[in-house]
Amino acid sequence: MGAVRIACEWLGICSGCEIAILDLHEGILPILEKVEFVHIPVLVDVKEIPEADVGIISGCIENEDNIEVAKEMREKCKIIVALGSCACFGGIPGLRNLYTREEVLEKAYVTTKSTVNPDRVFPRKDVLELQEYVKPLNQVIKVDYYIPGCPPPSDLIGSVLTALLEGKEPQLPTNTVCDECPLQKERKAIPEIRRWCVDGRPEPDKCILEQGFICLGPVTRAGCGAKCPSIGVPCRGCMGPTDRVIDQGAKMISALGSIWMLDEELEIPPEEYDKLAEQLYDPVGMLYRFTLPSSLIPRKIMKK
Amino acid sequence: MSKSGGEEPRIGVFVCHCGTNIAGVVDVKEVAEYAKTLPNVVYATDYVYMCSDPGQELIKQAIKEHNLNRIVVAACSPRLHELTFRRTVSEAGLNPFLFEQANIREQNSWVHMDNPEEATRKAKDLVRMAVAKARLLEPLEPKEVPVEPAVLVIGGGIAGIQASLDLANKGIRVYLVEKEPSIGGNMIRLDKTFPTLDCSACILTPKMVDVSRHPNITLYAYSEVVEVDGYIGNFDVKILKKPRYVREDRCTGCGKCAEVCPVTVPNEFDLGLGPRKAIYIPFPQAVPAVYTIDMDHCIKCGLCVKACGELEAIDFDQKPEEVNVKVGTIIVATGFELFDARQKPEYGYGIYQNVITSLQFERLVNASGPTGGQIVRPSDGKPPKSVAILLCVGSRDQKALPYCSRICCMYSLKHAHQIKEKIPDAEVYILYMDIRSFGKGYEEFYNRVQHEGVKLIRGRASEIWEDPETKNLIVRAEDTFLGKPVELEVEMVILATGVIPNPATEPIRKALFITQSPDGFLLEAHPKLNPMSTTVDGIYLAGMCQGPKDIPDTVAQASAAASAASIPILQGKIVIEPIVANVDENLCGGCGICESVCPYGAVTVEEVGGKRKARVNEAKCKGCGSCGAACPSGAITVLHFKDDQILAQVDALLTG
Ligand SMILES: Cc1cc2nc3c(=O)[nH]c(=O)nc-3n(C[C@H](O)[C@H](O)[C@H](O)COP(=O)(O)OP(=O)(O)OC[C@H]3O[C@@H](n4cnc5c(N)ncnc54)[C@H](O)[C@@H]3O)c2cc1C
Ligand code: SF4
Ligand code: SF4
Ligand code: SF4
Repeated sequence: MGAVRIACEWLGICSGCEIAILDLHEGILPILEKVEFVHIPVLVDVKEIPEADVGIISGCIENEDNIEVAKEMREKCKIIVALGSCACFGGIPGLRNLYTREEVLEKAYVTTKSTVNPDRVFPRKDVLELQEYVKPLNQVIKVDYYIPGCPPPSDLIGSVLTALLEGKEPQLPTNTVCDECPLQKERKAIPEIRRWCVDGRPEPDKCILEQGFICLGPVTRAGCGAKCPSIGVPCRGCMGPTDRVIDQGAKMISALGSIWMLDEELEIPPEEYDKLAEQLYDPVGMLYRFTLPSSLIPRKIMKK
Repeated sequence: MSKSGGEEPRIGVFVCHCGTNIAGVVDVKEVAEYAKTLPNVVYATDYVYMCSDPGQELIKQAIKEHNLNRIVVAACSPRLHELTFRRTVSEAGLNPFLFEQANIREQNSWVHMDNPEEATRKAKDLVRMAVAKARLLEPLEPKEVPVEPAVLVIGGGIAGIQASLDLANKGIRVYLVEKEPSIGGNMIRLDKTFPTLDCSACILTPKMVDVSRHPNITLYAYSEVVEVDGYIGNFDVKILKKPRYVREDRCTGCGKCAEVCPVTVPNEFDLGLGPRKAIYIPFPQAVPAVYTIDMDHCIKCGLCVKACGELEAIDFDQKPEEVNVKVGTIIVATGFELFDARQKPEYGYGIYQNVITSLQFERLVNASGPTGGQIVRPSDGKPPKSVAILLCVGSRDQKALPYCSRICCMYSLKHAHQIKEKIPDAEVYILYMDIRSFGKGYEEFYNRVQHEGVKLIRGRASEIWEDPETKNLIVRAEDTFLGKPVELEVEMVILATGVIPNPATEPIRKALFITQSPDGFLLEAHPKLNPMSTTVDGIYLAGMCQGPKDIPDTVAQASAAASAASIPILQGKIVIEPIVANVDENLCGGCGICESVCPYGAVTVEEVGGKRKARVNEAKCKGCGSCGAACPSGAITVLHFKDDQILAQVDALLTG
């Protein structure tokens, strides 16, 4: 049997996912014995996408070009793997779905502090027509396997590639970050929501969420080894939800609503219900940082 | 034997007219015709009363003739007839959970009477949703658990006493736990009881003695319930017996010890009006008649040890003792406490000596009380020649207790009568908002007291001042009948303070997962049809802990609670509803959110192979779904209300 041919492509990205592949370090050696990277723009500048067994695509769908490349990859590759949270869910660039395309262009090319553009020159549309809103990969082509994460954990990339090489079904962890988190858990009931670093820092060793800081560990797929909470940083949810959950942010709202003021003696008067929302600073940014384009309400409703 | 799911759904839809309740608004024939067009529906019809015998027969026949394996009835609320139809379906050989009810009455015809067309459309929507869910229904099997034939009664007031005796007389083992040194509760403090004026102790002490003698009752007085684990049929209870420093098995209650004890402190039982020793029984008829040493005040002089002599009942080194019992059901009868009148500073309670509470008055007027039944005022020990009784102190007050305490009107009329009886020339005023004399013989008693010359003034007192020299009190109020202010100078004031749940109820409430109503009293399962049960299976309520009530109501509820608590025990086993939460351990991350939110303590996170995983105790789970909504990993599903079943309903609604 010849080497397995792998083609990589990147769409709307920051290139962290590619670095994560390289981060396999010597772990990549046994893989390299069996595979041939026939196309990998981060390392080798080749214009044509060749036929391949496995296509790994990172990045979200932002513009016309991304759609074309994604479709071509689908045609040329037998198996498509979405690598990283942008490809899987839309990722951080997806937060621009809160604005119209025009607002986004205006911000990027005119009003940012570092921009001087008195003539209001914008990129030519025929080069890179920006889509009205960001989409995850699977809204454009069929995706066979997902490796979430921002960046995706290298060992997870390794295990998915190894499984594919061995002809096995790649498996992602099914549980949540809490399961991997070493912090001490007692009771999930929070009298108020606090903003990390602004309203203080969590005590070490104790569950961050239980101290009132929004940690998305409970609503986020395991696989990262709970890197963030282990060092006292709240989980931001980059691994996305578990297989059973449709909308990561909505699920977290449901969980927060359930534990907020849970132990307060008195019934919460209806006029105070809003307080939960008030205490949540930037709810969309906080709860949908990586998944807005794949959520139930993937963008701000725009008037035609 | 019951047929299960798995095979291709063959759904039957039955649309009920409910006489004209539904058919008067909804075009039921059109709805049934519409149902026939829905996927997997192989049979649909309408009938005048689906819940009637012929209606149920119709369902059974159709199941057989058309080989139906899922049934949808579009009728009233499932709260009313879900069980009826589950039974029907199961009698026809189907699993009872392959049934779904669409509510087209309460949620449709009754609220859209003026818009029949839209109501018919909505009925179709509701039927389409029910059919969508029915397609995904799964058979569920109820479980049976055996019941431990014993009952725990918490609180030894009249409620706990009555419930214990009823149960014990049925042959059921009872463990009665009372936190005070004696049972009797507040009723044993009272002198006479309205409206018949029989002596409280005379009617209560025989019952107290019965409790102490009954072979089926184990009394743990001066004890507290510290832990309850388990569920209906199988509660594990940990009781802590506080040290009395006097051995119950040796003390004969002779009282020689108290005679020699040199330490005197105010007696809590008399609400501070009389003294007791450091070694004491709270009152002469205490049950058990065992002395207790108050170690906060004991100086360990050892005089009592000498006085006790050969009995050697006194043991300064006694330790708290833990007792574990197993019971099938629990009755909570933790009673009440008076509202703290200090919270109404305008009435000067705790500041002016001659302002006392109603319960203090009960001790004053009681023949076995600190004054031997003489009504005297605290400042000078003289009988007051004028007394004002203020009603609704704390009660019916938006700034204190918004509810009516229910007993104060009547006991205050009783107090007025008692003053008139013992000090005939005394002026007695009652300041009231209105007199609520609702019980049997109560209005008559009210009339009687009015004729005894008691002066009733309609108006709430605004404030009280003390004349520092005479210690007399000046009561200001507005007479709302005459529409003018009144000012009374009286020698004593009795505050008819409202009632609140005994604060010692709270830890019990939390341990047993009983909910509270907004007034703080324990919440009954249904205010009309089930006032003696809680929403927790196997836990029942008796007496004031559920809400203010007088003795007759307390006793009636206690007997009802005893009866309800005995049902599972007499049945010997209970059937557990299979609509419960279910954890997929592959998804569960052990975050513990479910454990925090479950109102019944049914989920616990446990170590499973080094990982934290949620576990549901199916007997405790009520299928409320709180955990399912909260579980952030999606690990929890509530059977019969699974995500795919609910989403199918939502889809059906939106794509009709
Ligand atoms: C001033 C006054 C006069 C009244 N006069 C009349 C009258 O004339 N006629 C009439 O019908 N009604 C009268 N009542 C009402 C009557 O007192 C009550 O209806 C009755 O006492 C209620 O009984 P109970 O058992 O529910 O509560 P309680 O009498 O309060 O008994 C509760 C018992 O539970 C115990 N307990 C509490 N918490 C715990 C715990 N955690 N563990 C163990 N034990 C616990 C308490 O120590 C207490 O012994 C009067 C009330 C007052 C205040
Ligand atoms: S800190 Fe975050 S990840 Fe860790 S247990 Fe708490 S909620 Fe879960
Ligand atoms: S809430 Fe869900 S994920 Fe968290 S412990 Fe419970 S079952 Fe597990
Ligand atoms: S469904 Fe309700 S009762 Fe059952 S475990 Fe979940 S929260 Fe508790």
